[in-house]
Amino acid sequence: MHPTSKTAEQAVEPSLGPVTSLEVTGPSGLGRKWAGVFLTPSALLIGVFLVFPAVWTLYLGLTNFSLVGFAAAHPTFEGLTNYKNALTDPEFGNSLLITLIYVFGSAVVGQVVLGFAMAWRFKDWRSPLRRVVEALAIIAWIVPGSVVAFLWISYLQGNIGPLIEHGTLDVILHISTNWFLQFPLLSLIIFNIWRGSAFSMMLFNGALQSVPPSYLETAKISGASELQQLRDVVLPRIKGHVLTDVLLISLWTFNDFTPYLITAGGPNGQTETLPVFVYKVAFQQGDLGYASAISLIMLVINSVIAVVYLRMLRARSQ
Amino acid sequence: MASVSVESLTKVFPNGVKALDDVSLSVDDGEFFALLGPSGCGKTTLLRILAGLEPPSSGTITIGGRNVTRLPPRGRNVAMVFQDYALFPHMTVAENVAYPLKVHRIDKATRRRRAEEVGGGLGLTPLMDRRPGQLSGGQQQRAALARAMAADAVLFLFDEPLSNLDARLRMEARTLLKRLHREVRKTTVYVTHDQSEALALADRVAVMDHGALRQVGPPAEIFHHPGNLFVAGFIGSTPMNLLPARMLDSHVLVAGEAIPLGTPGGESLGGAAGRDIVLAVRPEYMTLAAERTPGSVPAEVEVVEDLGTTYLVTLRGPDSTIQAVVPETRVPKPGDRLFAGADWSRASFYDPDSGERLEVAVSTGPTPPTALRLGNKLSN
Repeated sequence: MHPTSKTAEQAVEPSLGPVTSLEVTGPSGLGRKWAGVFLTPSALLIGVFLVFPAVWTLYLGLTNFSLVGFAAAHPTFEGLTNYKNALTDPEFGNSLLITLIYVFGSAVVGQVVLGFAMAWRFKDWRSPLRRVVEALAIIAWIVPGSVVAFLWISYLQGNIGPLIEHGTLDVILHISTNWFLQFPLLSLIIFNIWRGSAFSMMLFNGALQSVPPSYLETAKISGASELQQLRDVVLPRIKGHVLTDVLLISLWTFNDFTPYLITAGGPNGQTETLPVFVYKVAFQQGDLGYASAISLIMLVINSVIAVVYLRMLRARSQ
Repeated sequence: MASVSVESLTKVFPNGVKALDDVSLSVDDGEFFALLGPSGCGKTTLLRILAGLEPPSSGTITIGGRNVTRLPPRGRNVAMVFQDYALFPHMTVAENVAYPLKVHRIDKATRRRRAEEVGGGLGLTPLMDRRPGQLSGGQQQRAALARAMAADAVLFLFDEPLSNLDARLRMEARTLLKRLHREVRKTTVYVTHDQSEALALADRVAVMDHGALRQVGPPAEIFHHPGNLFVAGFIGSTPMNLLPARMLDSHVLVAGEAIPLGTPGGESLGGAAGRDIVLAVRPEYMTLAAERTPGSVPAEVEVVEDLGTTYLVTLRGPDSTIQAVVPETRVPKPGDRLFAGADWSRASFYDPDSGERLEVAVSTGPTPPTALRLGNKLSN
């Protein structure tokens, strides 16, 4: 454009050239058209399997659509009736309370505390015992839900065929307790702590690596006890990791369906977490519209949890 | 205030590496003691064992007359400054400085007062409410120093506290450390791989290698009378010239040149006259001359390096490479053929097999060392 001033301009702002070309071709250097072409397949997949079902659920929640019967063929639009029903349904309220206890007990307290305790304890261990315990924790985490469900039924309940007549724990302790009848929710909470702590342990293993050893050593030489070291040096340093961990495992536990495989919501609805409740309403009672509405409420609760944690994360980094 | 004594300390790591091998030393009350050595020599391990951060495999440690070998760090009443300063990033400078007081549950007002008091002496007053991330390297270093001083410990431990600073700041911080030590007179053990730091700061220096002490003494002794070939090669900003030589009855023969000895060599070496030795002399004490003088050897200039006010000249001698530091007024050129002499009274002699120092005095009588320096006119 200005051939005479070109060299002077380049000397002052050498980035001028590349920036203008970036606007034309985009950061990939492909140009908008080609970028769009490459994006289409993944956008289609996301649309078909993620966006459409979500919108479909939103729609179903506003109808009386059901699994069988007249409403299966000719669902009618009901407006917000399903949502009103849910908010006044004592079964839904009870299920929400059970879910919150399950999430708080097994995830927020259980897995975070046990996971951190393991990571902290193992931090300076070089013995093979550490590898063994870590491997066992990780196995509990990666084995499929149906398998661990079977394991825990045989551990606490027994009564599955002639080989496993009594629960293993009862055999060890020489007692006869029906754990799932007497302590249904507590049993599930302990099960989920056992199952999921490995994730927190691994996450905190990494987090503790980010605490420079000289920080802890300075605290130790200054006379700090272990609790003071955790409070003054470790936790402020890994706060972000803790929040991330709590967010992820809260959401996973909130939506966890494994309890159904163990207790199927029983006895008498005492372990009926929301995912189990939705399953029961949709496929046992056949009320798909109502189940969709509850699913959407779950999505809202999940979003609220996520937003709260993200706010806390952002507040921390400021 | 406390003296430190270490007795036959050995440390073998679980992987079998022997970091310390039967080390014994004592540090006087109020002394500035430097542990100097190349990386991996065990100096940091020794410091960490003093702090209680590592357990020794065997041996005892006494601080202030108290056996602390089995005590955890918190029971030893020591303060340590790390290479990375280890300032807690989420605390202000004042909170960092007063952290040792917080641990001991001292109230907030007292903590603040103490931080102001100690920090003030180190020029930290305007920085008290800043976070470490907002400080320069030198300021962080002073904050870490203030924290160590606020602790009221009996022993200061420094782990290469200056090595993260750039050259100019390092000099300033070195002077500051020296001044602080003169003021508080606190027993200090200082680990460094930088010999100029050790020589400048310490009352006594311990040179370490492969987990053992090679020489312990005041900086001047370490510098001028290295106890063995390792120390001779390690100490000095330019490496010492180590020249093969032969001990005669009253002379040392270097490349065919006879250098007279003060005491007959055969006598002082217990009848070892005629044996091979290593003669060590610092490049700073070498002289270059255009003409042959008694006690000088012919050499050809290979490389000339500018050191600022002086030049380091590397020459190829008859038997070995020779280095000399010459003033900026008389700089030879590569290819010049000169005669390298020395102030031989500054030379040290070593047994080539054991590496140990041989106590031989070079004569200052018949051919005074100054005579070697005559005729320094160089051919250009």
